[in-house]
Amino acid sequence: MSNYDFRAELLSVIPNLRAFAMSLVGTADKADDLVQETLVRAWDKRSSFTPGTNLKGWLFTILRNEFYSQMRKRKREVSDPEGAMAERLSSHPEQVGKLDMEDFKKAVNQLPEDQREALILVGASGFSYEEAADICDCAVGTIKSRVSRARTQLSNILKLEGDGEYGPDAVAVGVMNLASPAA
Amino acid sequence: MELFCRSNVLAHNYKDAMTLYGENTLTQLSSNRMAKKDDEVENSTGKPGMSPDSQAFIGLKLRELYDDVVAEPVPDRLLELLGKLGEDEKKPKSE
Repeated sequence: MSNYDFRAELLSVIPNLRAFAMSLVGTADKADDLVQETLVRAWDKRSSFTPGTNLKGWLFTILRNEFYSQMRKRKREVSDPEGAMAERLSSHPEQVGKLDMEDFKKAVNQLPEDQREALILVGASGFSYEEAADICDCAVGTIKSRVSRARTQLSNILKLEGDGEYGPDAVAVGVMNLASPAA
Repeated sequence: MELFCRSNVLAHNYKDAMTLYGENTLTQLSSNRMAKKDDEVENSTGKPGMSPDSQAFIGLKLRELYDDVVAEPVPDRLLELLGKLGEDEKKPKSE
């Protein structure tokens, strides 16, 4: 793949990388820092990418690794997970029309890191369970259970399930399966 | 598959068993069995007891949250960076 093609392909994945990065760090500035670092790394190791394979997955893996290595560094420097969390949770009350989205965002941010990323990868980024497992370097079953726990927890935080008026309906559950394994 | 096989066996023995245990007991037994199967189905798809409405809501909101960011224009600083990445190759810098 020529440098030109590679750059064009990188460009095409940037919007998705930013969305994933936002779900990890919460502020646009930090997310873009993370994407920037990802692009530099991807460029440096572009010879290890096989053209025709899943570039999006490859880039997501780099971004995720970068994120966790930064987290580890930061933990050593300043131990302030609360502060980071508070920042991520900050909402924008002026956006009245988007209030329910803000509530939803807050609920997503309350999820444990591993559950949140699994949910985003499968439920929003369009990766299959298998691809998400590759990106997170874990077993497919682990991803499945993280996604499942994330959904349940979100439902609890948002109090989606009323007083048991909705009974579990296995058939409808199968039909309405929200996971979109086809990328 | 396994479920079908078991149901067949169940159906096969049903008549014989009914004469032995009576209809009520059997109906209860088989509905217990069905309930257990349902649980297994839920666990394997990973949505224990969540209503389709809740799932649909979560799915939609999640995509909305994500797609809002995807729809944003790529920030200039990232575009500039992409341009620079190519430059390095053409003319190796000596600074």
